[in-house]
Amino acid sequence: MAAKFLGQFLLERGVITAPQLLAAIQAQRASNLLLGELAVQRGLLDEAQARRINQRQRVEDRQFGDIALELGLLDQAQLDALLEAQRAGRKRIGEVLVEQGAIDPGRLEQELALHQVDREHARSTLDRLVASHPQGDLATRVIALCTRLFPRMLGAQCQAATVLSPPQLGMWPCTAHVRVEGAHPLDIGLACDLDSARALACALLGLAPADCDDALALDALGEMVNVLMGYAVREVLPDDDASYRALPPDHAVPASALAADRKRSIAVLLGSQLGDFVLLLARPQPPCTAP
Amino acid sequence: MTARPTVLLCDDSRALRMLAAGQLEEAGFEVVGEAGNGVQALEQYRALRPDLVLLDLVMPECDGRQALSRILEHDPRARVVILSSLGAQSDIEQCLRMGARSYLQKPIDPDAMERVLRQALA
Repeated sequence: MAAKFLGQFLLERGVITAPQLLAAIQAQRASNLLLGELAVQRGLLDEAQARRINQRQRVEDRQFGDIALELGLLDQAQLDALLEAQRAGRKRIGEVLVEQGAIDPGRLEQELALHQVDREHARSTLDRLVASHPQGDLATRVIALCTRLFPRMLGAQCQAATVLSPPQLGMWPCTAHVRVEGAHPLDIGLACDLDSARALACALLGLAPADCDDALALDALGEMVNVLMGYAVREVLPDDDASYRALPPDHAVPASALAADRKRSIAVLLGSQLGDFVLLLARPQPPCTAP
Repeated sequence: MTARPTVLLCDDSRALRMLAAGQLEEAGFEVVGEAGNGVQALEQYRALRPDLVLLDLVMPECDGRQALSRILEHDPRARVVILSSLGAQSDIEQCLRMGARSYLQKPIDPDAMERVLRQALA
């Protein structure tokens, strides 16, 4: 069992249709503005300023408001007002589905209770799978990193769903991984299908789907892994080794091969509004050292 | 030099070039050309004579070191800033000894990029 967003849960149970879900996601996105979007809408920042803060967020693990304050682009009162407006305007997907007539409030309440049970079960299953895995500690930390980083990088939430075994990885043909060499070598990668790769690329590069070809989608997946790797080295790998060296993104190794060694590697399915993707982590054998 | 310093952006990743180009334009630079390998980098440099070259070290056909050498051979005053991955310290040192003005590490921090490029122009 894998943890699911409410929309996916309702869709799989046949409570709503795919067009209803897509319409609700679109409406939710329009109401749940990012802080930068809200600041631009209110004339407190121009689009270039907001983009610049977003770009800094890709390499700094800091909130939009903190960077805006540091740059002197917003003052504390403006930031507080923006945060309050953001909270007030935020809509949950269930609320939007009710507003759009896709589900009635009574049924939504029942489904929410079922979804909660489903999530808790999935969460405890996932926690148990990760905790019992030899690379579980590494996976827990990188999953937390993805959960924090992806909304800033892509404007979309993601959540860990389940641990996958190598035979299950064939359905995600687009892969990119980066090898970090050093005393504690690490392979870190992402795998997804082509539709998700294109959606991720469009979100990362701010492109319309028509402007993103398959090669660019794969290329962008590699850049996402590069960013993820940069954070992972800083936050996850021991800092007693100053000799970390990252190789360029590699698209040739399939996900099943990266996760083939079940003790030294782990594959975690992550769900996101842009599509599912797989986080791949592997600990290659460290280089031989002289006795 | 024009009001907006001109930049030639060389990296084999089209996605990185798109991200970096947006960051450069917003920082007040003009991206006058892009190259996906070292051969194109030299060709574009000859044709465009940019104020700055942002040059990835790892590229197909002719890598960043070779491209740096050829650009500097063609124009010893060329201002080249190396774009490197994490930990490529010995490569960076070699490039600085060869005449690169500075270096930036991926993923690119837009503020660091602006600072380094402006220093390279000084």
